[in-house]
Amino acid sequence: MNLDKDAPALSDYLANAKDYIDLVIDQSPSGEMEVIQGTQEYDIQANWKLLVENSFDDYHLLSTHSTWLDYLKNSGVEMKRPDKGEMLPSHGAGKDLGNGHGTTDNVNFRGRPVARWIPIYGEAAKPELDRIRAELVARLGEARARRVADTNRNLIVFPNLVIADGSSVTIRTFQPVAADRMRVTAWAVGPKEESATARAVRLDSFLTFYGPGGFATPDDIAALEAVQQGLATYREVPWSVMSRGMAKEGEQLNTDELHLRAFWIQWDKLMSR
Amino acid sequence: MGQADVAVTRQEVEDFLYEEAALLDAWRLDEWLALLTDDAYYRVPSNDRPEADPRATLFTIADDMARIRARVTRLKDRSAHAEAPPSRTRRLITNVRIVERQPLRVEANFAVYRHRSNDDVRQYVGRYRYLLRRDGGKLKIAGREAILDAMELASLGTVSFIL
Repeated sequence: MNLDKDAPALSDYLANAKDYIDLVIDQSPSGEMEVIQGTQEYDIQANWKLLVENSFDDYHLLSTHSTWLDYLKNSGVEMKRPDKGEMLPSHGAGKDLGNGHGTTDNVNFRGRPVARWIPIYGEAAKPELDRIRAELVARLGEARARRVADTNRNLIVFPNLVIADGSSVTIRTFQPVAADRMRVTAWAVGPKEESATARAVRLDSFLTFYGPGGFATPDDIAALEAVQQGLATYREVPWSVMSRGMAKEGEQLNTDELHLRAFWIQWDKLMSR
Repeated sequence: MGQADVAVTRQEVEDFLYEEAALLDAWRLDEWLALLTDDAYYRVPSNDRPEADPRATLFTIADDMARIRARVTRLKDRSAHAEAPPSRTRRLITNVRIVERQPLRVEANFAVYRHRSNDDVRQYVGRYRYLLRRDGGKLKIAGREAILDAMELASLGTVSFIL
């Protein structure tokens, strides 16, 4: 629902974010993804824009989520040493999608319920993931199937919608309740027609990373709350540096900050109108 | 072929739950692990779906034993920022009831007070549902579910410690 009668058409508003939403929807043979029951609603004692940054920044992955990376490693997930000039086990890009939207676009290494098996999912789930992969290839062709299954992406739809298609798909939105506090609502999303086995893998994989009891999100929250406390010094320290990749030509990495700057530039544009 | 009821008194169950609470409050997590069976589960359902199946519903936590062990490994790591330094918790467990004897199912009420760094105290109130088993004379936990009464986590924030 939009109460602004002068609002642009949704399709125009979404700009290049549409392609990334389509990549999520292509997981479903019928083209329908559904919100799965069970809602995660929790507060973070930080300004809402910090969660925007956090949701599609990959620079913090190594330092904030080392316990999660160790968990993957200890569970038998293969982790390549990063290529020269990169920080993470696989290549990833950061993209400005227009109108303040942005995304990461990464070669997957972490396992995906659609459809890249890792030992955490258990041997019993292997045939089901093979079946999902075969269906993707038959429906979408080899190249598009790989795009859907073998990349993970954290998308920000400006200003406060996150669609993270990583260890599982989560939709997350958040509302400021004070300058230094937000209320987060998050759901899991999956293909409407997916089998009971696939659904169980999807939900289990979700909980390895996401949410207030996951192995990663609580550490994000701790970090954002620490940052918020630090921001109390804004009179003495007026700048938050976000310059990674600024002097670089061509593709920006997921650990650069082009996509974060795209969000802030749009925010600044609207706030100074 | 029905198995016999598990012979146990409420007092024995209470002593067991109090011992577990003491271990968790003291962050003696390896000793806590030893109270669990090899096929144990630990679950915290989403607040809006307190009665649900984690295979079809998003939970806050739905660990099997491998995940429980990984959770403990994580919590003992200083890089688990949400729990470094560890929260101080104090568990009050009351209204312990044996609700079924084959298998042995126990329910109890809890109030868990959590202090973390300089935050205000957070109060996690709800009920436990335990599946217990006799193992060589000793009680063991085959499953524990912590069901929160709060409609949403809201100011409780996270469940990064073991509830």
